[in-house]
Order: sequence, then structure tokens, then C-alpha cells
Amino acid sequence: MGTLLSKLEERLPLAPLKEAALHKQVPIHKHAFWYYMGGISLFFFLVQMVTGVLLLFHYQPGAETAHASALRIMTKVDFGWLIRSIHSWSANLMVGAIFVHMFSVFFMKAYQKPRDLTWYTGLALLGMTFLFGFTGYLLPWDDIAFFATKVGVDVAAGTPVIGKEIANILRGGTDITGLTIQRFFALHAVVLPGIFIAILSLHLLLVQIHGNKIPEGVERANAYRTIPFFPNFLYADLYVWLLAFNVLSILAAIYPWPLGPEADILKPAPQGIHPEWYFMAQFQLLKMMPEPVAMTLFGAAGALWAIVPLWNPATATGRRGKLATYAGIAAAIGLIGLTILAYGKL
Amino acid sequence: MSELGSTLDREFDEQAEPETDFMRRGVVKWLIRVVSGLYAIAFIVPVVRFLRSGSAEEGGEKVTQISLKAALTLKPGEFQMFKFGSKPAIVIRQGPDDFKAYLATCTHLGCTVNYNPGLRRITCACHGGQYDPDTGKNIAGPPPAPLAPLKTEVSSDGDFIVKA
Repeated sequence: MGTLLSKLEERLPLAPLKEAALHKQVPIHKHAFWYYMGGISLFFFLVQMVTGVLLLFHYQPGAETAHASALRIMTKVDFGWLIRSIHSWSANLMVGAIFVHMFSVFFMKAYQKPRDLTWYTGLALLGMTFLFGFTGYLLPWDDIAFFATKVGVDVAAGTPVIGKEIANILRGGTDITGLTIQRFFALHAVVLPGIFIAILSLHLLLVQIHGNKIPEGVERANAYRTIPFFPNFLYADLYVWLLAFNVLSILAAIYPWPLGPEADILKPAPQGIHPEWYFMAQFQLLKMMPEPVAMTLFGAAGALWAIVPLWNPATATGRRGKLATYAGIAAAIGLIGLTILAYGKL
Repeated sequence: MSELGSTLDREFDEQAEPETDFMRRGVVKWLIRVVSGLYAIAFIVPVVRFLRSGSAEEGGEKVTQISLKAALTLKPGEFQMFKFGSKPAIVIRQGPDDFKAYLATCTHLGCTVNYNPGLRRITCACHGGQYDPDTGKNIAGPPPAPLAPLKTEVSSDGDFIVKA
């Protein structure tokens, strides 16, 4: 065993990595709790990979088979309802964890140089998570999936110049058909995972290079200590993962994800139809104002949010620090407010 | 209690403490192993059963008999491929009342066999296996066993029946 390891070592020098892992320190302070959020997001993504591959063994895309196979998974396949339920629940929890992760990074100002690249890769991962949610939503081919895709693709079609073309390529024509299911399936199960894993690797590498950001106030007051990453923080991380796994299992087992009746283009949209919670703020804006205005407004706010490393760089005086904090609070209140408003009006 | 009694008690406690601590560690370690094992079972059992579920198990009914009227239109020396349930099968008309039917799956590695009227052999193109059409016996090449035979009969109302 020892010689096998040393033989591997000759070809793949692992010693520096092991050395780095052993010396890595994680700061502990009163806000250190938020450091777990990225790890929780990662955990839910790993759950998505495992359950997604499992579902691939039973799901059949195609207009004739998509809903039938989803129904078969829910009713005939052993534990199929549980695997699909975990996949759906974990998707939602992943979006939630990423949101909390992003806001905690925003308030700790962990997006400032040299961590700005980490911030941008994180935003790319968030965008791709939405695309995962959007493309996966169609695959069971039930009534709500059908209308969610119709609305989503129509919104995309509103993009100036290229919107219509993109919408037609996504749909495989001007209507949502079996070809649309095929394309969303290819994106959801092949294209997006490949790109996501590449960006995620870069994101995690950057986190390893730059380490955890210590909030300015904490650093100035020197109100922190450090603990070794291995094994102390790793054990704590795994413990949090175990908690996340328990929460996920309980939710999936007690509230199995529903499957609606098969999509039917002749059926009017059901009363009270609405998107998942993470699109409810946009949904509310769409109800309150014309579509181009709503999308421009959301796009502009999102763009300002994305380029925060540019308008709040790390400076000695931190002159824009307060502004950024207020912007973060305003964004949180805006999103939560619109979401509550949207649910209130259902 | 006497002074001696309490001294003894204290000494007992001092000696016992490392012991109970050691035992507590042992119990915790053991508990962690049991709980980890339970988690592993809770993960592996659903995954394996999920993967083992197949459409074949759901169909349930196994085909034991089919009607194949078209076989009656064959001329002697001709053959026809047909589906026996989900499996491929072959029927060969040897003479006016002489039909032979087999499951058409080669016993070597599962290719579907063919009938060669010139050779009067059932042959498999994959690895050159040959069977006797009269008995289904493997007579040349790598097949380790004869073809699985099917029973044929003409019913009183003139239908051609193939049975397992």
C-alpha cells in the first residue's frame, strides 16, 4: 500500500497539496456562520448530480413518453417518487442557499479585489442555476411545466435583436413541441452540467487561493481567531452537510413533489398558476407594468448588482462601503417585498 | 458515613473516572459507526431498488401461447420470423404437416439466428454457430446448447398455435 502510494506520488506530486491542506486556516468570528453557505450550496448541487443521474435511468424525453415516464417514476419505480422529490426539493434549496450565500458575500464585501473574479464566477453559477431550474421544469411535461416554459421563452423572446432567434432555437420552432423537450433535456442534462462544473471548479479554486474574507470591522477590531481547515473546519462543514441532508430528506419524504396532468395545448392555463418562489418577484413586476419596462428595470438592477466590485472597490477610506450596504439592504427588501406581494395577490 | 468511607469513595471515583471516560469514548465511537451504517443503508437500499426497477417486471404476464395463422401460408422449405411475447422466434415448414418452431436466440451470445434453406441449417451470423432445424440441436460452431423449442399445432378451427 505504502509503495503504491509512493509510486503514485512520483507521477502525481500530491505532497504540496497535502501540505497546503494541513496549513490552511479558517477565521472564526461572530459572522463566521455565513461561511457555511457556499458549502451548503455545493452540497445541494452534489445531490442534484447524484439524483439527476439516477433519474436519467428512467426518464424518457419525447412528447409521447416524457409525462408517461415521469408518472411511471412517481408511481411504479421503487423509490422513484423519493428520488424525484429529492431532486426537486434540492433544486429549490440550492437556489435558496445560493441566494443567502450571495447576500452574505455582498454584506461582507467579499467581492472586492482580489476576490472580484470569485464574485463574477459565482454570479455565473447563479445564472446557470436559474437555467437549470428553467430547463428542468419542462421535462415532466405536465400542465404547469408547459406554461412555465411558454412564459419563460416568451420573456427571452423579448430580448432586443436576438431574442426571437434564441426563442426559436430553444423551442425548435415557433411552438413548444416534443423537440422542445428534447432540447431542454440536452441543455439540462449535458450542456449545463459541463459548463457549470468547469466554472464551479474555477470558483472553488479561487476560494482556496484567496481564503475566507474577514469582514472589515472584525479585522480592524482583531476580533477573530483561526482554526485549522483540516480537520476542524472540515468536520464542522460535514456536520452542516449532514443537517442539510436531514432537512432535505424530511421535506422530500413528507411533502413529495407533485406531478400535474399531462400538458395539453387545448387546456387554458389553470387558475392561480404562478412560478416557483425564486421567480415570484419578477412575476409580480410583470403583473404591475408592461413587460419591456419590467425586464429593463430588473436587468438594470441586476447589472448594477453584478458590477459592485467596480463601484465599491477596496479603498483606504471605504467611502462607498455604506452605500453598498444600503444597496444590499434595499435589494433584499425589494426582492422579499415583491415576493410577499406576489404571494398575497395569488 | 465515616471519614474512611468518604475517602474510599473519593479514591474509587478517581480511579473510576478515566475508566468511564474511556468507556464513554468507546460508546460514542460505536454509536457513530452504527448511525453512519444506518445512513449508508438508507442511501444504498433506495438507490439499488430504484435502479433495479424495470418495465419488464411491471408487464407481469408472460406469453405462453400465440396465434400465427400466417405460418399456414408458408410453402415447405420456407420459414418465418415472429415475435413470441417480447422474444424473437422462428417457424420452419418442413413438410405439409411438419412445422418446427424455436426461440431464435442463439445460445452462444444471444444473436438472432437465421434459417439457411440451401444448407438446411439454422445458422448464426455472429460467430458461425449452426443448429439442426429438425431438433434444434447445436451441431457446429461455438453454441453450447440447443435452441429452445416451441410447440406447434393446428387447432380444430384451423388456427395455427405456437406454445411455450
